[in-house]
Amino acid sequence: MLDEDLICVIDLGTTEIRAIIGTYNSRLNEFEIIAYSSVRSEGIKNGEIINVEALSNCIRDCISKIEDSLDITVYSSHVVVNAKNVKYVRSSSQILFYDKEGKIVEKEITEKDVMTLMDKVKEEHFESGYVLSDVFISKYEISEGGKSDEGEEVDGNMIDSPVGMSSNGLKVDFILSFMKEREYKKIIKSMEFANIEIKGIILQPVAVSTFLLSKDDREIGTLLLNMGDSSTDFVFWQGGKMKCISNLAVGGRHFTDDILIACRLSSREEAENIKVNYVHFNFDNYNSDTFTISEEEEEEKRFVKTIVVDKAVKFRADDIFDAIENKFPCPGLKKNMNLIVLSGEASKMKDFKEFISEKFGVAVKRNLHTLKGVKLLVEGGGDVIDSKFISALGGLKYVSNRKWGEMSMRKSRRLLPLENFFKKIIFWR
Amino acid sequence: MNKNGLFDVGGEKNLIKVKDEANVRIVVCGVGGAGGNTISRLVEELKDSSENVKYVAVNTDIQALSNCKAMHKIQIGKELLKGKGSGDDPEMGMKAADENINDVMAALSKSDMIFFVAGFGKGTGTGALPYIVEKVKSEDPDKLVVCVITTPFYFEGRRKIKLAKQRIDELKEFADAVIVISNQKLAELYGDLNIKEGFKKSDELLSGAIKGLIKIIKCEGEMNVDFNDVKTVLKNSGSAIMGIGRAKGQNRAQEALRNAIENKLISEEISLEEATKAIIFISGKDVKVSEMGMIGNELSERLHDDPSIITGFYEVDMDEDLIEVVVYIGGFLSHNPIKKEEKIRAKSKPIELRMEIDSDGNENKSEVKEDYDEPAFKRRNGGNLDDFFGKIN
Repeated sequence: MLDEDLICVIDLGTTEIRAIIGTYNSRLNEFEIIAYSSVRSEGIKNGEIINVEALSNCIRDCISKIEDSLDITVYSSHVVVNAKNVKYVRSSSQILFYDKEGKIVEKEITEKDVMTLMDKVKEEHFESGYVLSDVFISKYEISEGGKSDEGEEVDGNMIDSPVGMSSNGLKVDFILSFMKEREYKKIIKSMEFANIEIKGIILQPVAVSTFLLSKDDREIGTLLLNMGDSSTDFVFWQGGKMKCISNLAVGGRHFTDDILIACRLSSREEAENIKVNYVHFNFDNYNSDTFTISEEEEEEKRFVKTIVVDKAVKFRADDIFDAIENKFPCPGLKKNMNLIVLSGEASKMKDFKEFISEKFGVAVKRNLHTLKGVKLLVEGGGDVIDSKFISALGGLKYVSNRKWGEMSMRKSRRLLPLENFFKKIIFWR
Repeated sequence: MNKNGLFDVGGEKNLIKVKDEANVRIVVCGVGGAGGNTISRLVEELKDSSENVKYVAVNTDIQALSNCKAMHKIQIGKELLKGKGSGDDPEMGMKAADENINDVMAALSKSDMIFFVAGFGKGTGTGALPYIVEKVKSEDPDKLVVCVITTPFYFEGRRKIKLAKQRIDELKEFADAVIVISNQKLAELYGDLNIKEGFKKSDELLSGAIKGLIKIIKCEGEMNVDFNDVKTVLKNSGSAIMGIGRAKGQNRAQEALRNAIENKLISEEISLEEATKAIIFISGKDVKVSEMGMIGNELSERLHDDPSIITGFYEVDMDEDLIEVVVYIGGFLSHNPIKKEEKIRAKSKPIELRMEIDSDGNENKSEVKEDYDEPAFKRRNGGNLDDFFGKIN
């Protein structure tokens, strides 16, 4: 493993800050992690940075653990952040090929053409008060009559890369993610105070879906429903490309709070326990079961009929369904969706999987967050890395895929403005 | 005041010269139980430096009022509540204030600046204070009004926390600056305090916040900060942060500033990144120009781009090489007060923007977000789930 292949990723989570250093081999679908660490997060509340100083101290502590274990200095890193302050804009852009006389001609599409088109995309799109954080290609389309390098007509949906195909123009459908400038500046400052330069910002739903969804999942039309503490991300993949992405301000905390209020509890811990152990989403047949509540300050035990909590969470689940059915901006979603993958808080709730499967009439799988393919090269063994590192691992995979996928195209050109900052991720002491 | 014309601020050894021209009329008004406690504490602690400071206590509870050490005590809701308190009902608190608003306004007149102090979450402070502040500002918009508020401990219940938050938002519509001290954060920081000690600590913080500003306005230094400087920073500020930090040793300047601005009890849900204005008041012995520069630069780094910072300094004979930094930070970009008429307009929009692309793939800026913090069973069903509860004897 070469030093320059190593990628450092820091995941800025609401409960923990996590960092990993390692590589990803796309051919073998394997990670090699040489160091990882986590510390309790401070300064982030409900997915928003509320205290830059506190957060930067946590980042510094987290990175120091890695530095001490490897005897290295980390100068820069990629950062995974939640998508609460992000808005997505879907659009398309195209270029036509002209000869010297100004006539449209058919030619072989080169890497430079793709880069020209991508630059055009970035120049044309601006959102006041927001910063462009990423561009996701949903579809390449070559002009009518366009042919593959074998001379066959091609379906735009199926094009992985248009380079080498012949056409008189190139069109690309894409999604732009714009982050609120205020939040973006806070991220930059938090890292600056921790003496770490940012190599790139990766959105958490993108990182999670990159890690969790298999190649097949990404092909067949899969909706990832990744529920965090305060929000839920929806990411729809089809034909190997991300087609739509969005975020709803409802997360696991809202289910817990509804139970807390419905059962008149004062302990969030007790509400959380009820959410995981007693909730049933399918309560069409009247459920007369009860369970008891015995909070410390309560003199007498109370019982609550299970249906109280069932009803409370059912109405909360309707927020999610309503978002998928009516608010998620994804044309053709219902027609093309063949699988739903639940992750995060959504995968913890009892029979939510069956409930959502019945609702949408598609297969649903609960992601169990196994870390198959993650090799730990941490000296002395150390603790076993756990599923909390999924966002960081997904970020690493995303960066690695992009790095190798675009390396030949990019040469010295930049994808993100921030990437210009850095030459190397880490330097050995 | 002692024979050298110096007085002891806050019972400490930092003897400071009083400004001869310090004729700024300051009123400190405590509303409700917590407000009254703070006033008593301030009267005790600032008894030697209370020239031109008038202490007023406003309460519905006659017993609490009689125990308060303020010179001016106003019982509100005399007819409505008969001196028995508001029963944790902010509506009663507001009605009580309305009943005796003329008495309150008379006590608050003839002032350049009013500090209001209250604990939010119960009845009198929560209900009466926003009403009183609205009246004061509508009568004289030029008067500087700063409110220092505590929010409830978590164990006091979610209803109180939510209520406090709502009323603080209302208060920001009228007050120039609102400094919020979170009792819950206090509990988290001092986990081993018992309940009595917890409330005492909370009172200490309330009085500390006010003492700091009185000190800035009323003390004369080599680099002076006057009332108008304070007004520049706090006027129409919305939210504000106040902190006092002390340190000694080689890096005393930086450490004192850090201690002042990392006061987590006061900086609830506010990021310094968004602050555009600040006052720094530095006191100590043999303070170097380089230390002053260091403090200014570091604070400037932590605030929003190109902040407006007013610096004051006085030489004072403190213990050893102790340095003290008092900071007031305001002008928060996302916490600017929303004028009442703007708020009414905003309320007419039921939901706000969240998802940006419509089903045809076009950007859609008219799409809106529901208030998802409201329990779904209430929002979607008007949900009353009470019928399903029972008790085990």
